[in-house]
Amino acid sequence: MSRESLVDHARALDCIHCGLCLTTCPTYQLTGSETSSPRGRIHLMRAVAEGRAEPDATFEDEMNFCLVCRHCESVCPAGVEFGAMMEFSRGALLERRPPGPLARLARWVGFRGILVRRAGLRLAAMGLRAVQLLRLDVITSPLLGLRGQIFRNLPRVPSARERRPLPPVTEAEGPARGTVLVLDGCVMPELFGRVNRAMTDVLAATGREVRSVPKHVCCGALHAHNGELNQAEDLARLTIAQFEEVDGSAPVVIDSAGCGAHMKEYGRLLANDPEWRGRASAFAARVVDLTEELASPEATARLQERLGDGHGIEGPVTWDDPCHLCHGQGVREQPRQLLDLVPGLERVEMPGADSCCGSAGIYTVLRPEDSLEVLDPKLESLESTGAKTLVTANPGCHQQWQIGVGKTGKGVEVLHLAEVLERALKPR
Amino acid sequence: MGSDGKQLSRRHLAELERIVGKKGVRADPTARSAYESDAFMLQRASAEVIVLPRTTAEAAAAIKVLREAGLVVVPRGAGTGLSGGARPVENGAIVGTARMRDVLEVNAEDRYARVQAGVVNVHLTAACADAGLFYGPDPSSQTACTIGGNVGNNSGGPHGFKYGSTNRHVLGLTMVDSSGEVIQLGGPGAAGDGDLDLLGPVVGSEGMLGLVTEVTVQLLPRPEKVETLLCLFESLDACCDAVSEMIARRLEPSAIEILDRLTIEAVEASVLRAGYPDNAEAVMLVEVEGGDEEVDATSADVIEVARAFGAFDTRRTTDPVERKRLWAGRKGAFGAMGRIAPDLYVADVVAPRTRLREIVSAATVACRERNLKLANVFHAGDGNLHPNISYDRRDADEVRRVLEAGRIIMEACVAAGGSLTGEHGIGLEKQDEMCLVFSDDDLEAMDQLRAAFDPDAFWNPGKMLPVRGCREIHTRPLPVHSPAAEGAS
Amino acid sequence: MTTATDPTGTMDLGPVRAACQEAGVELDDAGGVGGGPVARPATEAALGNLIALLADRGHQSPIRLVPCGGGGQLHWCRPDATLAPAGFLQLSMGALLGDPSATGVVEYVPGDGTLTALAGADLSVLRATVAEGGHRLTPAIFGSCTLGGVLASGRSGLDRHSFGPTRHHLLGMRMIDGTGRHLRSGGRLVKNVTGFDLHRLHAGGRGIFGPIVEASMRLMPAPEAEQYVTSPPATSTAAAVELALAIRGTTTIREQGLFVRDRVVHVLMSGRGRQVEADRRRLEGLVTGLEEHEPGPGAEAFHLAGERQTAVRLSTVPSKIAGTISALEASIGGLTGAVIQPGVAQVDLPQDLISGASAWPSPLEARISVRGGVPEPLRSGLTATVAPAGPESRWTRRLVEAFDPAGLFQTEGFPARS
Repeated sequence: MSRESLVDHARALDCIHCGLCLTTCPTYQLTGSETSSPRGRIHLMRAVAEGRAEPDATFEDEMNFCLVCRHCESVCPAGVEFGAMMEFSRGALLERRPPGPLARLARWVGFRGILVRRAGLRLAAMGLRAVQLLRLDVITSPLLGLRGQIFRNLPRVPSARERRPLPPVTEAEGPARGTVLVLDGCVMPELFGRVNRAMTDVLAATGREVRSVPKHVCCGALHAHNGELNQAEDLARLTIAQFEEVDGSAPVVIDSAGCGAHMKEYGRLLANDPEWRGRASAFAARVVDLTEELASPEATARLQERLGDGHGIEGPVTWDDPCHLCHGQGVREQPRQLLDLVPGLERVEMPGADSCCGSAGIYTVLRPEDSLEVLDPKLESLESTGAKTLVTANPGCHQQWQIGVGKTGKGVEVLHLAEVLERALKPR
Repeated sequence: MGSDGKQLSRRHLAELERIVGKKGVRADPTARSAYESDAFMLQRASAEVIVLPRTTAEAAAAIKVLREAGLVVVPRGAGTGLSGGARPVENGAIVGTARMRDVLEVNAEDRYARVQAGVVNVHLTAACADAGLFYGPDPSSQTACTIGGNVGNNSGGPHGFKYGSTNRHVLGLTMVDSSGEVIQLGGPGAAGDGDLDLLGPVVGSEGMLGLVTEVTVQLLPRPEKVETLLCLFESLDACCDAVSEMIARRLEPSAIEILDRLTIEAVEASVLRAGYPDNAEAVMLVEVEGGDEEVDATSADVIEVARAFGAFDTRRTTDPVERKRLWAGRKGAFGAMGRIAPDLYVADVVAPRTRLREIVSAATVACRERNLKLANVFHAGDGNLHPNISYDRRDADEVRRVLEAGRIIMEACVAAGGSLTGEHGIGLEKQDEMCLVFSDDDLEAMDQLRAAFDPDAFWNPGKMLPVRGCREIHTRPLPVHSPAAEGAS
Repeated sequence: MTTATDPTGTMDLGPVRAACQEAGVELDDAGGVGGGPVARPATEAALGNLIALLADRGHQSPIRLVPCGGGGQLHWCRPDATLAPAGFLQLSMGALLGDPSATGVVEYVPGDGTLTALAGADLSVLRATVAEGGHRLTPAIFGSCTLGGVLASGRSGLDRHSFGPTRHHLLGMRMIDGTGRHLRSGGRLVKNVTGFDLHRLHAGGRGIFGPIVEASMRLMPAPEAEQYVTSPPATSTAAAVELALAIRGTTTIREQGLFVRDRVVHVLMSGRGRQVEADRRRLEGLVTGLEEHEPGPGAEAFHLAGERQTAVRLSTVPSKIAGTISALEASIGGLTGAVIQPGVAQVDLPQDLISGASAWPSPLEARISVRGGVPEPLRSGLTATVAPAGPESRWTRRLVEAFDPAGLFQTEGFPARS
């Protein structure tokens, strides 16, 4: 395998080394080391491609240390597509330096056995629930060190009833505004089924007929972020086909920022596949985040009629931007506007709301220590706001915040934006 | 002295790790390679080790070890400098301040702040915002560059037109000298008048007199009213002339910036799109600050001059969000050039403000003749031009042509009574050109000044002053103010 | 280094006479300030040659030189030369202007807002020159003084309040060092970071690195309007200072100068006409019974009212000035006053006020800068406060060794050495 193929060299050339990205980078903030900054990583990629540096253990570690939060993209005046470069390099590294047998097994089980199969996901969820019910997590977590802490703080797997899939069709309430498709997702239904149902209810309340895609399991975002590019491409094709089967033109509404950011980039992912290129771009153009959908004037008008106080949500609330929503999709104002619609809810801004919480997909599991260190300043920020409720819109962040809040013992409630809105819906 | 003077011994490495912690030392070649240049990318070099202390005490202790190891030291902030000042040198370590980012004190009543050198410029202003104060210098890289780096380069920025560069804002410094001794210069409440001014030469010394670890700066009260004006011109020449006229009429806005068409296009294509109109050949961005009455009066005068010089449209806004957007576009302009070509040569020359148009034209011609892409974005109010030339460093001939054009622009500027650099520093980039401005005696005197602070050339050696004598470089010093010209009156 | 001083002693003029002759410089045995000897070089080259010759011979007999303009700043800059003029050879910088009617202006560029002038140029002449182009020259120091004298003595005017210290407006310099080398640093542009700022050493260097020959200054626009007002006398200096601090504390009154003298607060406002009016109204809301004065050209009246010959200057942060003043007045037993600026406040103590004092208040939270003769009981208390730390002292020593190896320009007591 050649060095050039390790790195997306053409994209690396967009960087003129100005350094404006440095302060946005969570790993630079953590270490103060330019090697662990976006500019430093691009430098390493370029140096490797140009034969001036070795793709050694340090190189690999710096690639894996990155959270791919893409905060740097938001400030890069040269428009460097850092996230895409990182996916490329990670993919190439996997091929060049395959992980050890145990890690390979874990990756296989995770990426091919669990994430992409509904049955696998169910089994995993049932297993985790059993462990939690038997309080085995409390006993075993000390044995697992930091990973154990995360294990113990994993969201409680809800009962089977909670984990039931979304109905294929949910009727619109009031005057109908057309159909939308929603993504059930891989982990979402098992851990955050209530969020999916809240999304469906809120969408229906704004006059949308909501259709799910029962066959569909995984969009492939986690695969792409972690370098499993071939499988990510396969999953993209499968996703497109399965959604098109249900409806060929309706907007695709996503309540998980990581999935949404990835699905909006299907066009780029399949750019080298002449057969799928056009179809992928067309599909990507249909993808919207839930907050984008709800912030449209029509939906907002309907929401205003339906939202009331008496929702029991303790304020003040604060919004934490999921990286793949604000940096990945450029969605910043809409969630705030939506929260401000809820009567009787005071919203406060959290300093550094757009910086990464350290969740970053499966980063929490791969690098638990770094993940928690990135979270620490965020917890301080949260405390400085005095917020009683933290609102987000991505399962990874949701889980990370629950871990963090659990650690501090401050009893801040973590909610998905859809849950906030659903609780505030007045009965019809 | 250290092992063979080339490589850091295991013992010294362990000692450094003990002082600054394991995470504060980066010694393996791959990790170090990320430091091989700053934002000036034409020259690269490898550092022996990167050391990132967290406090003045750690820095002082680390300096002693590095000295014992026989290394020299290049101080570095965020590495956003544009002249190679923070590039490693042979047999040298980098001591970076990136982990020294505490704002130690904000004194609202006496209007000063004391910060660690690694505090990022915008973070300082954020830290004093609640007190209704701000920090004056605002280099375009202010979202990343550090206060310590600003001290090293005497950094300016758009608002330097009104507030001046860093040297007008530094009240005191804490430094580590080459023996690892810590020293305080100045401080809050020190007028400094009539005392020997050691602070003055240190600010702008490009890291060659010592390692600055803490800085005390004055803070300014936020103005009552701020208005941003955008004046659109059909020609860059007319835009330059309008600025010259504003200076001649002694108008006092806080910033006067010019962006030409290519810059506007690059900015508008970037994440920082500022809403600059696409039908202008040149945009003048002006900020006026102060009391309500003076802002109104000055803005009216600015617009009157702009119109008299052919501005076909003028806009004004006091809305903070809109103003921020207009400025974000200006400040990200360098980076946005990355869209035009992989590399960017950012020139930084100063012309007398009566001769702006002339120098801009000279730059345009020099680049056109060499088939180079030139974009202009600059602090017009200060006469500080930034002709930006896009290139691809893999094209050796293009690199040669870029350097040639850069040199011609500098020569034109010096011939017009201008200077080599307004805010980016000399660093490695303009060492030879120092001979265009200074005589051998001047340069020798500067080297003596340097040696008085650092007799062993321990700090950032080989920068700023020409390595070879001017006679050897075969350049004549500036013909004008030569001391031989007698009775200058 | 030959810095031994005999305050009453006279210098052996023999070697000086020979050197002047060789360098072609006119020597006047007693025509200088205070009747001391003065050399009047007609050209910079001759001045350089003279210094070079004396530097070569300096080791043979102690010769001490002091660059001198009109002598008006000598008491600020080199009080020892004022006390014992016969012990110094004055170098007349005015002689370099040539024709007595010459202004010393090298280049005034109204379109660029810069002025370059010879060090011996009279400040009031320069001020008049730039006023014609609508500019003002900082420092606003009136009375007889030259550009070089003001720069070397490190003086700032009361306009320091709005423009900062004089050295911030210094763009570049030409100078001759103690070996006779002609040097240049900085330039004539308002923005420039080319090379080390050697000129910053000369500003406030009191001539110890050799004479300043020429300096370039940034000019400020002359204001559209000026108002000079004073408060009624307060009950005490401290009360007046509190009032001045209140004025400084507002960000809505943009005062350009502020000081307290004899329990009266003096305020200067300048800028755009309507703004000055608006600020005046706001000031009236803070102070009742304002009295308005005719500011005169360049607000001369305001600046003259605040000027004072100073033996010792104390500077501190504004928040500590009231306490400093109370403590001072208790120990010296007389009325002081203070100049209040945005980030610093200063008390100037003239000779007569401290001549009878026996001790400094303790603790004194202010920095002390010595300007003139200090009576003995106070002198001992000073040494500890003004002595610099180790590295600073080493740096200074090496600078002197580099730029004045023969010690021609050295003087006792400055810079303070540990």
